[in-house]
Amino acid sequence: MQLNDFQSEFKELMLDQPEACKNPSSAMKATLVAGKIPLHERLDVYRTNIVGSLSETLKNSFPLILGLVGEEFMDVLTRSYVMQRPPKSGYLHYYGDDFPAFLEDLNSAQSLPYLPDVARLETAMNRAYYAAYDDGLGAKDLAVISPEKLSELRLHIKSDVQLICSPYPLIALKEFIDKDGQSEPPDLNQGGMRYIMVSRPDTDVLITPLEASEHKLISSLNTGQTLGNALESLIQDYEDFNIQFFLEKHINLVTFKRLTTNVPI
Amino acid sequence: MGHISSQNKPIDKTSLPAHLPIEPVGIGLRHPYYEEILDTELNLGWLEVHPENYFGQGAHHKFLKAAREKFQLSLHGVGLSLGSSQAVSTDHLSRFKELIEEYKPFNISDHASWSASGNAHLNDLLPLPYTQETLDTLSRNVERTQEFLGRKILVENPSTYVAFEGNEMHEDEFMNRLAFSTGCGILLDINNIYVQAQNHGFDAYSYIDTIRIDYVGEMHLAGHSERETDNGEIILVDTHSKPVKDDVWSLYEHAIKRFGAVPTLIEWDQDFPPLSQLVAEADKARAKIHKVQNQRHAHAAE
Repeated sequence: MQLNDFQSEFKELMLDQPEACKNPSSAMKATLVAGKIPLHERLDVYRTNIVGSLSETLKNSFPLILGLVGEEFMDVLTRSYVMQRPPKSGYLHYYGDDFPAFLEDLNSAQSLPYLPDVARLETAMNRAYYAAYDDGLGAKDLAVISPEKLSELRLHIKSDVQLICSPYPLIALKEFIDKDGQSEPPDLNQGGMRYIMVSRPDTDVLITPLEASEHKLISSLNTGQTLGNALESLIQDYEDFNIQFFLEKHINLVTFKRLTTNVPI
Repeated sequence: MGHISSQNKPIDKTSLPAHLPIEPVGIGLRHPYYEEILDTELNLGWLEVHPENYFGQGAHHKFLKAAREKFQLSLHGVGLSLGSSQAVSTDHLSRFKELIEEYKPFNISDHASWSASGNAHLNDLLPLPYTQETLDTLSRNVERTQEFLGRKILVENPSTYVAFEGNEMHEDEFMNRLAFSTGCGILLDINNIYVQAQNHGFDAYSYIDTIRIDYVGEMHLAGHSERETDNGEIILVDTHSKPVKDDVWSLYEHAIKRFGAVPTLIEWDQDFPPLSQLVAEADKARAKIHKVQNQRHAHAAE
């Protein structure tokens, strides 16, 4: 077998069902030495390493899903994910990014409809942790802008900041799992939408609940709208919205990138 | 390409070759040890990390920066997939290069193995047939890597669990030829030689005696595990989860006699012991080096 064909077939074998190692193709059998140790046992060392280590990576990235479904079912989930969606690169920071979508498609997880949203929270935490460090917008940056020009500001969120909305109480669920189920379980059928910001202002990942209005304003700003325009449309739904309070809060949380464009002063 | 003759005769050197860093033995900087390594005075020459674990930003960079201020560093890649029939990923090389510029390691390395095929990157060091086709493929990828990174790399001999009917040469000769054709160095993993000698049935000492002395820029020591097969045979698996076995220490002593006080890493990557146990393994390696040096000095004085 040519090297390219061997690698392609070996890869398929590794990502196939465990039994596949017992029946490699005749071409594969002719390529590899068997000897005293049966070939399928030799192949299985590799398969165990690959599927086991990637499954472990996913368990480490999704401790909340692990806490919700338990070790045994998590093993089934992660192993099947690894076989269907192996990593595409030689580093694993973002491996599992489409685990939420995978869970959504899965029939066996449909009795737990909140799983994909919990996985989205964990993916966001992971992305926040590994994100590039952007300079944040501070109070001094705003202080130099004359009040009448504030409405022309265009603010964008930093690379670490992730916004999530979900009908499930994700923060309460996280606390429940973090405390090993020692606290009162949250009511999953409360209804209503909840908004969350995940960020990494310094070294630790932070989860902050947001008001619907805040979430809407940050989202509009991030599409490139000016503060004035975004506020104008926001006020139609939230007439009591306090922009002063909003800016102070998000300067403290270092939500926005430092201004790089020439802002009219 | 000319055949490279193996050098089986005993070496006649009264002093061992000098290598950076001055203290030859290092350990892997892993998450459970971050704080203790920074807070404790340790008799260690250097630290090793997998660059892939630092490709993103994040708090772990703060620890690596602080550790780099105390120790020299070796960046030991596990994801370049140098033996793949496809080209090495430019994204991977770029990220690797950024780390080299930031952390200024004394050695950079990866393996004589493959992980990527098509769009999938399997998280393991997979086996290669030792043929001219593989040598050409691996050499091409090593050359591209060295050109991109602007420096020589070391390539490590892997642990393997299968062997190939179509091998055209033994692994030791394959490694020599790779170093000869690309100018790369060899990272000689002593445990991997032992594991393979058991799994495939060859003489580990003869392997070491075949590797050209001037190619070896780093050595690795690790613990392996035994896995029993259904028919009662044993496969050794390079798990990096146990102390270095006695047979591997003996083989290491033989390697020091041949290659000198080459920077040596104690690898431990799962079921982490207390840091003190890892440091004790490093002390043991240093004692082996001193023993060989003393024997040589005594021999020279006679």
